[in-house]
Amino acid sequence: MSAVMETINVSKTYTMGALNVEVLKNVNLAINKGEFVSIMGPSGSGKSTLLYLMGGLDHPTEGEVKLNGRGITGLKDKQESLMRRREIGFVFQFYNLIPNLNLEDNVMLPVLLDGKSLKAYRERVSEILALVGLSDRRKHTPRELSGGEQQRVAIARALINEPDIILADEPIGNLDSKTGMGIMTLFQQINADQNKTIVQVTHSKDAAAYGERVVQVKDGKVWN
Amino acid sequence: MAIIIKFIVKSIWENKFRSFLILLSITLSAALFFSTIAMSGTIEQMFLEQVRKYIGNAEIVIYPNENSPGDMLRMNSTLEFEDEMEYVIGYTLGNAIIRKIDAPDIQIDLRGYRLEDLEKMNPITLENELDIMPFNGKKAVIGRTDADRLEIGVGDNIIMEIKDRRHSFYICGIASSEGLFRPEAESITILVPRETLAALYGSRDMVHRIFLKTVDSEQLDHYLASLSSVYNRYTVAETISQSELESYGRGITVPFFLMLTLVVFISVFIIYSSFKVIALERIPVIGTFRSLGATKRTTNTILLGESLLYGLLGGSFGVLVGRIILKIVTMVLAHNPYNDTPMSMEIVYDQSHILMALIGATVLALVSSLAPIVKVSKIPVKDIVLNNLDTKVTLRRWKPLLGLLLIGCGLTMPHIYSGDHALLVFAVTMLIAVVGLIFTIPLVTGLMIIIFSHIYIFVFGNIGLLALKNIKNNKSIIDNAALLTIGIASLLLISIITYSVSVEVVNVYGQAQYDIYIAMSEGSRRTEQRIRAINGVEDVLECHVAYNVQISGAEQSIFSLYGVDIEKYFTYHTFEIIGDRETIIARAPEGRNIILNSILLDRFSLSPGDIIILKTPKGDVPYSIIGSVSTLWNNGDMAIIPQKYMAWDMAGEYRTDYFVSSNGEPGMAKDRIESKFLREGVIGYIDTMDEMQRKNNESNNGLFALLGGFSVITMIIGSVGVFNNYIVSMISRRRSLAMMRSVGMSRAQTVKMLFIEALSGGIIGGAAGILGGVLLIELVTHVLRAINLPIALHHSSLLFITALISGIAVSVIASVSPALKTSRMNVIKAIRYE
Repeated sequence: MSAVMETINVSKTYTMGALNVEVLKNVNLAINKGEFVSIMGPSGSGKSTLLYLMGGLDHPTEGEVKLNGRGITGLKDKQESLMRRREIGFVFQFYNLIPNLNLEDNVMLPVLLDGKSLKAYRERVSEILALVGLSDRRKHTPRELSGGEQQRVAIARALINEPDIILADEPIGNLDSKTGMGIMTLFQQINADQNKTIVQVTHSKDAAAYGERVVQVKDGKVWN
Repeated sequence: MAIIIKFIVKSIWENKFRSFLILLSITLSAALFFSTIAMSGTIEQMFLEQVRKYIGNAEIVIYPNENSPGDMLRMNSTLEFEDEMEYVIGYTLGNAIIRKIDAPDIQIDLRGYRLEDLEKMNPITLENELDIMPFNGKKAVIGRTDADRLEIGVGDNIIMEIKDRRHSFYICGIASSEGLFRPEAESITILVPRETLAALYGSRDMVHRIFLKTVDSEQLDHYLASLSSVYNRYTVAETISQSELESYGRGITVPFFLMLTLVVFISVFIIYSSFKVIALERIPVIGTFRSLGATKRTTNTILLGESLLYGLLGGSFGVLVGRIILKIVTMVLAHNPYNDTPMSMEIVYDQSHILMALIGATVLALVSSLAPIVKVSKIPVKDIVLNNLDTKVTLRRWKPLLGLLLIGCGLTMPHIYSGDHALLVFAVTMLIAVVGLIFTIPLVTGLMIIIFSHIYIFVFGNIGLLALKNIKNNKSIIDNAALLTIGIASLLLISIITYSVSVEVVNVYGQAQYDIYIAMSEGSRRTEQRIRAINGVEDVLECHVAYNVQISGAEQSIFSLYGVDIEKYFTYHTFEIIGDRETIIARAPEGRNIILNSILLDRFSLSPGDIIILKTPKGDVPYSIIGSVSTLWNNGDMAIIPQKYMAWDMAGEYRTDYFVSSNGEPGMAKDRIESKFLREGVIGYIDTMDEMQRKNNESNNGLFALLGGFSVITMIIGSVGVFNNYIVSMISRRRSLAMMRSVGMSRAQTVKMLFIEALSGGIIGGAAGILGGVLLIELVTHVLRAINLPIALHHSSLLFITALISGIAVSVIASVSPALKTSRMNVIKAIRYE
């Protein structure tokens, strides 16, 4: 299997006042296409940092990150943003939907930012909303939805541009167990049906069980 | 308590820019409030200084008129009133000329007083004196400025020509150049002994004027009546009444009060918006305090304490800044283009003004911050601690409807109300209408979004549509539109009034078909002939003018009543006559007919054909209204009657004006006329019409520059408020904006989106500001009418275009820094943490 995402000798150090805190140390990790990987570790171990480095939201102090064999470290903002729109889908713990936009607009956001015509994507939006079970709520705003429903919208948004990889940071961290398992089932379905590569950061062993590989992060180092 | 104070001070210090903004708003509001309330006293003092030269602190004056046996009178009839008066002072006046060999002759106004009398009525301050006592014979006192001008000092003699004879006077004193010796451009005042001057003019025992001051000024009307019956062949009048002073001041202070209203309004808005954010930020701290056992009162004290501190600081700074503003206002108003010497520039205020400003500033801060503080205090502790805060934006659909209703009320009220306190009522309706307009801004925003969406898709693409979606129901954008509305509306209002006044001045002076205007204290047919004989004079029209002619049975009066040769008058003044011009002009001289200005017809609720009864020295006299004119001459407060009835009915209690058309250079003709009548000293005022127009404009420009300054301050406060709102907006939207970045919005796209939001907000604010300006202009016409200034308002399209562009510019420029900062934010930090 080819690697969709690779980190090569990646280190990340944060400067906090006079202190330098090394969060990640020489991390080498490869994510293959179609894999469903769970990154686990104690609080402060650097697992979310690793996820954001993979997604281009942050830059390593040392080392390189590659997406589809292409180095993404050192890209200019325009190229990086393009990459996030088309090749990566993000799902966050607190959903991060735009409160004043309705579901349809929230899902379409990456498409809008890409300058594409809304009309051309209406059918795709319908498909995706059907997939996440929210077809009849497309004109509702996030405030009118439950936590689980909002997370489904976030997943729909992550899928709209058919990205190569979905990165999820504690996707069920803010949900009750039943709702959370519903989300994980959805992830599993997307991974199985669409061969979508999914990488999630999670504290939950139950959530990790939905994936096929677990990567442990401890003290800035990765253990497969 | 110390901890609370420490907490408050630290909170203020932490967010310096916001604290500065709140303090700036309160300081400027307090400064403008202080300067406006102190202005009345200062202006009255300036006016009093002008008239004090002639009347000191006297309350009553008695002087000869046409019915009097001569131009002097005896004082013995005042003896029966001596016990009821602080003083009874006789005064003689005269004219003299100092002949110069290689320079123009100098006109001297001689004032004859006993020194001890002057001490009571209009005290002088002697800087130098030599043998001043006893003050009799041919002794003279002169003011310092005039002494320097004549290059004389104490001990010198001056030769003055009085009634064609030369007299030498000994300078025994030089006084400070104030009060009686306040310098005049055209003449020099010299004080001489009363009896000396009286003897030179015919009778040592008589005087030209008697001035009286009552012990009990409440009885003034009684004494006026009593003295009138004793001096029944003379004029007995009040020197200057408080109402005249107030009326003079009101014409200047009213516009400032109106501008102050707008400034306070915008400050309330800014402080309210800022305290909404402050209150929200303090919620976690308040939760902590409450969970540890603090009462609601304690936590409210913390927030109100911050507001109180702003009020006290802002009020204190405001008084200091207000003094500077008052000084600037006084300097501008003191410059009198009609008189080369400036008026007194003493600013007048007392402790009560300072206290009012401090209290006003504190109340402003407390009232503006109260609503957000009360809202936060109602949140249960549990919700604060568990972060269960309702951040939902509730759509108050009733607000735009209420706004439309308030606008409707504002527009209707002036047409319905016509009672007393009209000025106050109309000012309040202006405020109500502006509040109404602000309530409708969400409605205006919604409409503009619909229009913009069809345009933006082509101009800005999807980012434009995204920006429009962000604007809808965005409180900060709507608040900015409101701030811009108030700022632009007030700027437009002042600009249009300024422009209109300049247009109207041109129009009014354009109606004068002559070149020189002369106001004389005495006039006659012979005077007219003498003027006509001067080289450069083509024709002359004599006109009698009586001022403040009361209407019988009413509180109202006609400011200027002209007694003229009616046919000739209307060739000299091209006023529009409403009705059949030829018939009215032909019929007018046939009886006691009067032509009223249409503004007065409206004010008195009269029509042509009605009878108006004028109070004259001969009693109540009915005049028949045969027509009306439309002109802003004398602010429209004028009427015309045939000249012979003026002479009969007004018994000489009028001034005589002359309108002169010139067949050469008007300036030279004016100089010749002035020179001819110099010795007699009968010319009160003379000028060419071109010069009068120039001075009129200069005088107006000073006042409007000040009003413009107020509206610029409004715009500055508003602009800083807009900037603050953008910062607040970016902070509150950090998470959303970071999320957009995380799904692929580039920095350039972020800046573009924020720019479009600012541009749209500016267009909405500009458009609403123009609407507001139009609304205020419609309403201000009623206010202007209420202060007897019924000018027609004119405007140019350029003014409105400039207003719109200003709104857009302020909004876009204010958004630049916050937008750039936001585009560079740390995405992860913004996304991950609540």
